Amino acid sequence: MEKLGSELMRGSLDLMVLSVLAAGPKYGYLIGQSLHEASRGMVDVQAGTMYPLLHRLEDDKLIRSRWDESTGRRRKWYELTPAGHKRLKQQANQWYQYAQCLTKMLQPVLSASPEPA
Amino acid sequence: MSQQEFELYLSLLGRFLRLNAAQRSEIADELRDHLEERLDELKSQGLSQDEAVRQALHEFGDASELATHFTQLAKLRRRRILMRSMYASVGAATAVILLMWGMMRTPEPLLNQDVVAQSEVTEVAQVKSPDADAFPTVNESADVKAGQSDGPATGTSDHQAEIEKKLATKLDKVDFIDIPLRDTLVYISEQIQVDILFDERSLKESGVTLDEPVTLSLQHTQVSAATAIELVFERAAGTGVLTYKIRDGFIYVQPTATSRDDVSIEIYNVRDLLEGVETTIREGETLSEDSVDALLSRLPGALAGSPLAARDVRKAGGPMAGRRAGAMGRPGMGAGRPGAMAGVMASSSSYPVEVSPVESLIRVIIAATDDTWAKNGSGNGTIEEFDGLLVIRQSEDQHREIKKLLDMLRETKRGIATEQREPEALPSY
Repeated sequence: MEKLGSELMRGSLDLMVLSVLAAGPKYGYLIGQSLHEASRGMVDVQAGTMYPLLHRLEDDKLIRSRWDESTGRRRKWYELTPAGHKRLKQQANQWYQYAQCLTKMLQPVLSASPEPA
Repeated sequence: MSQQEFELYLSLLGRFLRLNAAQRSEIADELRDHLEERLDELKSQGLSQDEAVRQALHEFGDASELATHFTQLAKLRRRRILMRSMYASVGAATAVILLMWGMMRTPEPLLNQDVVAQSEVTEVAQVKSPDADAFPTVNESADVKAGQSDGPATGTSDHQAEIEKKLATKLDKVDFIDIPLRDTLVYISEQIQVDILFDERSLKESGVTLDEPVTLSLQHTQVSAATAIELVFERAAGTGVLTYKIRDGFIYVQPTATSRDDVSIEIYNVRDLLEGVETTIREGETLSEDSVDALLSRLPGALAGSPLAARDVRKAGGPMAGRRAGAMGRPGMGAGRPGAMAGVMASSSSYPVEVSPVESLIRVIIAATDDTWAKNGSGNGTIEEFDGLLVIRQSEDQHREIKKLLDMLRETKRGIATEQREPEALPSY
């Protein structure tokens, strides 16, 4: 499967990160890994994109962070806030509707011509 | 070795980041953690330590780009742009498109190279006037600006006057502690509601860094925005290194050297200054700095002579050949007193010379400004007189200096006129 281009990801990276955190708290590197796995390799986000995004989500109070030093190394963990959970649900619904709508519109295009390589 | 490289990278990143020390160290810790994990993974895939470090740092990307992504301001700007794009598209939207825009809440995570090269403030400018040039170019050709009929002439458009007025407004509070120059200018820009853009390329070429930390704390005075800008320029880069020009409704920050390539003509009505000035006779000329100061503090009465005679002096190869036009000797109240001039002259060509008032004024202007004149220096500036009007071709920052000088002269002249009306106040020589 092709990697998702940044154009497509642009609008939805926030949502992806929120969804990955829904399962439980994670630290930055782990979030990147989860995104990669959950998307079956289609999503590969650079540190330079991800960390500012995380900080922004934290500024927006959708996630919160805490430092943990139990491993001997300073590590920053993120988790969803109640507002974050709410936003995730809202956005997930919106995206679903959007995806359905778009799929419907593009159906004739997909069935009419052979599938692009 | 690897640890060093990474710490170096982090410190480079730190230089670019515009956050306080605590925030910076937090980001450093987080990135360090990420890097360690990445290194572990790469090494488990078989790479050597060095290879792993190289790969991991490569993945991180350019430090400056990274820093740009991190800064608070960048976030703010991006959000604004996105919001504005949303408003713009509502008109054309069907329900589905509305839904799409509703979901496109997040700003661009990856800025392309062009945008990174500009300052964040530029993005706002782009949104405000989408038809304007995205990349402002330096104007090499001289443009003519018509003057007003009284006082020092200024530029043409309402824009220019408007911006100048805004620059004159007093700032609320100025309390910068180790704030990067760029951020201080953004603050000022917001205060006076004028965009401030940066000639990034020229600034880079001149080695001026906009991230230089500036400390400026004004507790008891309120300064104008223009003064504040000059102060932060000075603190960040030293005197005279940076300047700004007013272009088409915004303020453009450039290195002074670059800005001086860009000259324009302005016309100054100086008839009021020349009024009542008497012709005096003086001898030769001198390069003495004291003479210049003396003249500047007591102008009326010192100017004299005819252009013809002045030319004679030049022909005779007098001290005029030097860089700074000399002063006219000790001025006095009323008619000139050649006797008093003897003390300040270093005259090799000592024959009486008449210099017209306007000539003298021109020399004062040249003496009081930097070496930017064609006639006796290494610059492009020219200054000619026409019917009591000075036609000056100079860079914008020099025009500003000239205006200040003329204002000072006017004030002094006014002050002296007041004194003259009250005979008791006359100082005795």
